[in-house]
Amino acid sequence: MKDASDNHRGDGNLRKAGEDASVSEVKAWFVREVLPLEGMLLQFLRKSSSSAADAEDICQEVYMRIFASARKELPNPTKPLLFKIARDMLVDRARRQQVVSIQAVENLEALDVAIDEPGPDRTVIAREELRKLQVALDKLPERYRKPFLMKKIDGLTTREIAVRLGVAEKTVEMHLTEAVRALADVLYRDQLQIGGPA
Amino acid sequence: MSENAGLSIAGSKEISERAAWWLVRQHASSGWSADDQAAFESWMDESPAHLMAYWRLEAVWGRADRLSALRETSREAKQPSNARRIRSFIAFGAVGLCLLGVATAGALSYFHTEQAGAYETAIGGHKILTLADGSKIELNTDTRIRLAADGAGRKVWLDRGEAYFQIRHDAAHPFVVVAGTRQVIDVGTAFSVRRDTGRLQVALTEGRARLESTEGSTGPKSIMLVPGDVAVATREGVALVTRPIPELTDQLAWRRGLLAFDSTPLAEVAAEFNRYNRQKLVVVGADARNVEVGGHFRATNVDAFKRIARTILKLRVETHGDETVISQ
Repeated sequence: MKDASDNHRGDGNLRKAGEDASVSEVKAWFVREVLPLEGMLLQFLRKSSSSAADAEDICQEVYMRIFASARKELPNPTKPLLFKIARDMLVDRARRQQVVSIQAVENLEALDVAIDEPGPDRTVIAREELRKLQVALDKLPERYRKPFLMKKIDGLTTREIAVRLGVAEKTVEMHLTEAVRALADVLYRDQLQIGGPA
Repeated sequence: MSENAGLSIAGSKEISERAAWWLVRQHASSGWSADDQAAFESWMDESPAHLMAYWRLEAVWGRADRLSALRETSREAKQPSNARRIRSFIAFGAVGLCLLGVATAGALSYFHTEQAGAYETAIGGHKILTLADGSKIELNTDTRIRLAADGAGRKVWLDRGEAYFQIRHDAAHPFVVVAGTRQVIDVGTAFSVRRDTGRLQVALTEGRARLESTEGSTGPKSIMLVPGDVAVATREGVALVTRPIPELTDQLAWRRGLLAFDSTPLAEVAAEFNRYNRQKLVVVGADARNVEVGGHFRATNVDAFKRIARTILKLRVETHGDETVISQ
């Protein structure tokens, strides 16, 4: 993990000894291959978990494991490995707890089908992501959307935004923080629905 | 959440909040000092979870730059994406319908009362009978009972299997369930009676009931049962234990088509499934027989249980015809 800091902005492309993928390679792969599957993964985890928050924590663990695997070699294709990890993790948990719900079983079965389906085409993803970002933006509460648009589209600084909106700069920062998190949730976690009627 | 070796990871929500904070801080007017950079780098180094949470938000942040090109169209895209909500609504709707179906079946049987005679269920079957006095008898899998002819008093013979009785109390006409050489006499109550070869189990969930032996010579011994009591009668005698009511309710999960287990040895689990299905499970070897299982299962879905045995319990599962052998 030492070289993580060298590459946090995605500039570097350092490759460590051996075949290890560099952190920036892993990053590009994560954004390109894993994030578009997050919606599907979470939907699966939610059905088999006790709570939504629980599912998100398991999702984080799944990411941790696939990250470790990607550091050795970038998975190709990604989808089967991602869902295999998720599946194994649910199985492990079920074994530890010795409690298996009917739902969990049925979801594991549904997953087998889902893994075999091809993922969405990448160009479709890119186009749809942009459209979804628009939709997501429109759904944001005004107090989050305004500063976000001022920052990203008008290119204002946080200080300028604070002055225009008549709020403290800290408040602007906080609202930007909420905005970007909310947008990521809509963008990545509703992924499955983007193919719906336009 | 994480039980991974030595890694203590905060919840995903906290990490995401922290990542967003770092992201915004880097783009804030207040400046980004070398100290900030160092602190950020050490946070990113702490865990890949931090890295990925940051990358995820950074990708959105970067992508938003492309929105400027579409700015004018941003209003037209106002389409709430309700697809997921509708889907989950439908899913819940389906569950609701199932429950309604069960409720309706119950209500229907309540409005027509049963004639004297024999009633049976097949393996995996389930039937609710309503008697003229409003009492209800629910038959579990592979069960046979006979109702006394009208006027012959309130009397039922349990020839085999298991039934749950909800009895309208009538002090003048006690309700009697006869099972072999024993009988249960209700004193206004709900109870289950299960008759296996050489073994009779009576579990009382409400009210009171008396368990008697009908074998004449030694005189009828009787035991008064109160809620929570489980009496197990064999040829040797009667053992009485008291169980928490929720546990008794679990034992009655069959009324909902389910089997409930809690740290139950696999051998017993298999025996329970076998009561409900023609396809029989055979657990071989002490290791496998003692594997403990918990949870709720559909009584008639052996296939699901076989998959669990294979994928979750990591046991060998081999099916030949109607017999499935489970081993370590």
